Amino acid sequence: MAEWTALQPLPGMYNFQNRAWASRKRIAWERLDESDAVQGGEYYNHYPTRMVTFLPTRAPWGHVGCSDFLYVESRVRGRSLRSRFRIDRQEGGSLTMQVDRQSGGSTCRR
Amino acid sequence: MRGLDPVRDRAVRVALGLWLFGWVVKAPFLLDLFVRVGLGTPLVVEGLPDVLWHPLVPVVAYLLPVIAVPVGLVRLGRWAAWSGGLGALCAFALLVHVAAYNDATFVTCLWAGLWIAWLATQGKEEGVAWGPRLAQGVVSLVFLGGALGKLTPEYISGDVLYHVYFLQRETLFYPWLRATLDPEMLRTLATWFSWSVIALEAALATCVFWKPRVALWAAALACTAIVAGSTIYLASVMAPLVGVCIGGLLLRGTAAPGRTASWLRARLPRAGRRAVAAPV
Repeated sequence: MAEWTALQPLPGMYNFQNRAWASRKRIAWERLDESDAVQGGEYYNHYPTRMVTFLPTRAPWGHVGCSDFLYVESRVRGRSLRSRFRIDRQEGGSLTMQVDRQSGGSTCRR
Repeated sequence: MRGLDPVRDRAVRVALGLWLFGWVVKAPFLLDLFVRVGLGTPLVVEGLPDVLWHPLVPVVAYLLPVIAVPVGLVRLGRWAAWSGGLGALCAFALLVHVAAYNDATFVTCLWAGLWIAWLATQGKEEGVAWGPRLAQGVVSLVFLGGALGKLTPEYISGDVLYHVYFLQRETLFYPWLRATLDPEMLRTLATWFSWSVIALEAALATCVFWKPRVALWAAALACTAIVAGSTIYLASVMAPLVGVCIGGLLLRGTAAPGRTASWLRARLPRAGRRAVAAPV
C-alpha cells in the first residue's frame, strides 16, 4: 500500500497497453480470450479500472444480488497482467468493488 | 514578503494563475464526477483504507484550492507559498483516491504546486538562480515518465494509439480519418503518430539539460501545441506546466548568463569553485 501510494505522483500518462472489459458473469481465466466480453473490450490510455471509477455514470454496474465483473489487462514487452474485479450493488445504491480471486466461471440468474 | 521582489512575485503570480486555470478548466466534468456520481453512487473498494475511497474526500480536495489559490494570487508572498503547497497536497490526495487516481491533471498540478510553493519562499538570488532550472526539471520529470512508458513494443508498433485514438476517439478529426482513409493507411498513420509522440516526449524529457531560455520556450510551446492538437480538457494537464515554464522564463529574463554558476561559486568553498567555473 505504501509503495503504491508513493508511486502515484510519478508521471505515467499513456503507459503500457491497457484494456478493460465488462461481463455479467464470472468467466474462467482459461476461457476469457474466447468470450464475447473480451471481443467488446476497450483500450484505455492508462489505468483501465477507470472504466468504473472515472466515467460519468455508474448506473450500468451491479445489480442487487447479482455481481458484475470487470476484467483489466496491462501488457508490456510481451507480458500480460490480468485482474478481475467483482462489483456489487448494495441496497442503498452504493457499489462495492473488490479483487475477485475465485476460480472457475459462474452466472447469476437475472 | 510581497513587494520585496517584484520579479519573483510576477513569476509566482503567472504560475499560480495558470495552475488555477488548469485546476478548474475540467471543473464541469470533475465536479459532476465527484459530486453527482461520487456522492450519488459511492464506490466502496474493499481492502483500501476508508480515506482512499470515501466520496467526500475528492469533493473537499478539489474545492479547497479553488478557494485558497485566488487568495494566494492576490496576496502573494507567504500566501502564495501556502496556496501552492495546499494545491500540491490536494493534488496528491486526489492522485491516491479511487475517484481520480493518477489523473495526469493532478500529477502536473502536484509538481507545479511544489515548484510554486518553493519559489514563493525564496529570496531574489535563490529564486533567480535555481527557479528556471527547477522549472526545467519539472517539465523533464513529467515527460520522462510518459516517454519511458512508451518505449514498449505496443507503442513502438503504434498499436495502442491506433486503438485509443484512431479507432475509439469520437472527437476532433479521428472520425473523419476513419471515414476517409483505408484501414491500412490509418494503421500506418497511427504508427507515425505514435513515433512522433514518443520523440516529442523524449525530447522534452531532456530539457533539463538545455539552456534555460531555449528549454522553457520550447516546452511552453510544445505543451500549448499538444492542447491544440488534442482536446481542451488536456489544458488541465498542460496549463500548470506552461505556468512553470513562463514563471521560469520571467525569472530568467532578469538573470545574466551563468547565474546559477555565479550563485554556486559565491557559496562554495574555494576548493569547490573550480568545478563550476564554466557558465551554465
